[in-house]
Amino acid sequence: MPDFIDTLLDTDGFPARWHCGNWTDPHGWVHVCSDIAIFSAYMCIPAILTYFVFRRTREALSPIFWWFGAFIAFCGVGHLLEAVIFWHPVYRLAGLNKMCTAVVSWGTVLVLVPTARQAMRWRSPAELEDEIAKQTALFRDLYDEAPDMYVSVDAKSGRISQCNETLVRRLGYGKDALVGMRVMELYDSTSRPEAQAAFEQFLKTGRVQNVELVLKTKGGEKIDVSLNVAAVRDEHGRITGSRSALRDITATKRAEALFELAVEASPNPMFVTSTGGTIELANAACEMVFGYSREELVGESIDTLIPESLPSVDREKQVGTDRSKARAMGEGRAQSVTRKNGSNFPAQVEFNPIETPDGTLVLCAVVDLTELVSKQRDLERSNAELEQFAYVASHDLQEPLRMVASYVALLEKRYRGRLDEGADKYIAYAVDGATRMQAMLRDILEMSRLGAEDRAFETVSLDDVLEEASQALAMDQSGATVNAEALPTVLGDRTQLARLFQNLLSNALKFSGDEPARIEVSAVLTPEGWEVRVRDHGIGFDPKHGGRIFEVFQRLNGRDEYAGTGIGLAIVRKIVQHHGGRVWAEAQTGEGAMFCFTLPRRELDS
Amino acid sequence: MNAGAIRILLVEDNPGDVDLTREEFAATETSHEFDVVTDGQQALDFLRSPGSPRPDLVLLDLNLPKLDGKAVLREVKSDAALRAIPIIVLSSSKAESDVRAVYELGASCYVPKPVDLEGFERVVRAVEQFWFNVVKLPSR
Repeated sequence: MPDFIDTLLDTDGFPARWHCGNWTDPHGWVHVCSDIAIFSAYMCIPAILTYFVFRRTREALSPIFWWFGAFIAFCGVGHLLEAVIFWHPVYRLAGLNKMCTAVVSWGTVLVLVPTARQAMRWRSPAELEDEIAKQTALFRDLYDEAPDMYVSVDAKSGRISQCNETLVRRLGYGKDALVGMRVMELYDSTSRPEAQAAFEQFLKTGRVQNVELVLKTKGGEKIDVSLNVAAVRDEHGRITGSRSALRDITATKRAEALFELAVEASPNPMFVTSTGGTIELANAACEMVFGYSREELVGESIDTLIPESLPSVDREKQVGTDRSKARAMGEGRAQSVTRKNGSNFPAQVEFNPIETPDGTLVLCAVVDLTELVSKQRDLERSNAELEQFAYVASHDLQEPLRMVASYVALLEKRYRGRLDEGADKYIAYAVDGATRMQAMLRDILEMSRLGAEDRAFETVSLDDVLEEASQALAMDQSGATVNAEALPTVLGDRTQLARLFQNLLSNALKFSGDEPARIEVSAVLTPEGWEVRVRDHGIGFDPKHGGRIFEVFQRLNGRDEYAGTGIGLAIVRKIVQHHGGRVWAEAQTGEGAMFCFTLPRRELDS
Repeated sequence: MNAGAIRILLVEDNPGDVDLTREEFAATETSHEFDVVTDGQQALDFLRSPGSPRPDLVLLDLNLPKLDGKAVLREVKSDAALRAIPIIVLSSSKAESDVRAVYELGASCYVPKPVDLEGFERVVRAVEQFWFNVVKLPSR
């Protein structure tokens, strides 16, 4: 081996190729020239490749590149040596070079295989270009078809550099006309000063938010828009252009205008105030009703008109804290409201908080209740008079009736059988008439007393009250069964509720038919309140009479069949009404009846 | 228990009620005699006049012309000579305030006037039982 290295350049023992075989000149020179050419080409290729690849990527070249370069270099040298051997038979050097070439070649093959496999996965330029085109189209579409109008403006010239299809379509100018147009020309002349101010602000701060402006289309139509601008900056942070979004707010503006119109046109005085009560807007009706001019009202506190003297009013609390529900101030009560001239009138005042982009405002409506209140007072007075009259009449009527009843009874007692048959019958009719009338007068007295009573409501256990009523009627003794589910505790007048149950139970007993009465009492909670049901299995009634039976002195059966004046259910109805509920009956002839009444929810109900 | 006929002063303005009362008391077994006056002033005059017989019992209606029952009651009960006489007030008023006032003025009892004949009979029978037979009346 060391011999080999020493003798690399030794040409001993080998003839120059020219002298090895019958080389003709052309043949020889073909070999030599070709080899030289190949050598030079093989040297150039890696050089060129290195230069270009290095320049493009500026990255470290991958190992395959070096292998390939080495392989080509050794090959090239090999060919050079073949040419040199024509003169200097340096076969030993050539052999070494060939050996290296062989090694490097196989090295390259081994490195190439995995790389080739990897390369299979790369996309072709056509595919990549396709991909890029698709993405571009997607974003183009998003941009062009955006619901808002997009504009890009050059900061220096103030001209439009780019815009989306939405703007083109909306304004009616062609794309070509728009690009290059001064952006200020898009705006309606009335809006230009503000647009200019916004632009200046943008140049300073790089941002514009929610500025309301008016655009003008080619056809002259005005569009209300809200402008938002973001800056495009160069590498030094200087603003070179803007990206703007213009949102069409005509619908919102129209709604606002409509709202203002509605408030203005309302026949009731309406105010818009801040949450603190300062009047910001008042409609025409305010001027008329209160006597102040609009200028006088704006800026004033609403307390000037609607005094806070009512103890239950805490407007801040009402409006400021619970915005989930708007509540009527005074909740149904008439409240005193003051005019400019100092006079008062009763009104219902409602406060409704409304959310606006500028914060929460309060809408107040005032409804004049003067007429309503006076009519109500008239009604109340008339009712009171009627009840008083009924009371007095029935009370005073009892005296002469007592005379009639007593003496006819005396006649009957003394002269029964002593006068003719006719007389007996006539006397009997008279007695009967008087007795009935006495019963009816007592009932009317009771009804009118019910109306006069105004005891405060207290918590009443319906279970207890039902029990009392059952016992008062001696239900268990008559063989009747009363099945009651757990009844609620409610707010009401105990005496009246006891009377109510007593009347219903006594009816059920009376109309139980041949069998002993079976009564079921239950209560169901509905959104209205408690619904109590008293069901019996007696003789029932024809449902078409369902309304009539609650009338005073209305009876469905003959006097001979069943006793009673027919006021029991009228009393039941009056009591239920006094408690704010409704009463009705469902029945079928022969299948019993169910009487239902509601007791509306009140606070403190359990 | 009480010797002799019982004398009753009936103060009642309604002739119908007068007859009814007489009628029903007639049906009882105890012997009795009625004196009738028809207004409050007459009642006081009768009681104070030396010529009139002193009643054992007074049946007094509240609703009287001239002087009403309560005034009579007040007068009689503040008169030393008369206040020992038991007074039964008969009245069609059921008002609690009337009942209370009557007792406070010193009436012996308050009987609501019955609304029908049967009731009237019961009341009279009860009065007879209690006031004529159970109770010892002061001697005249």
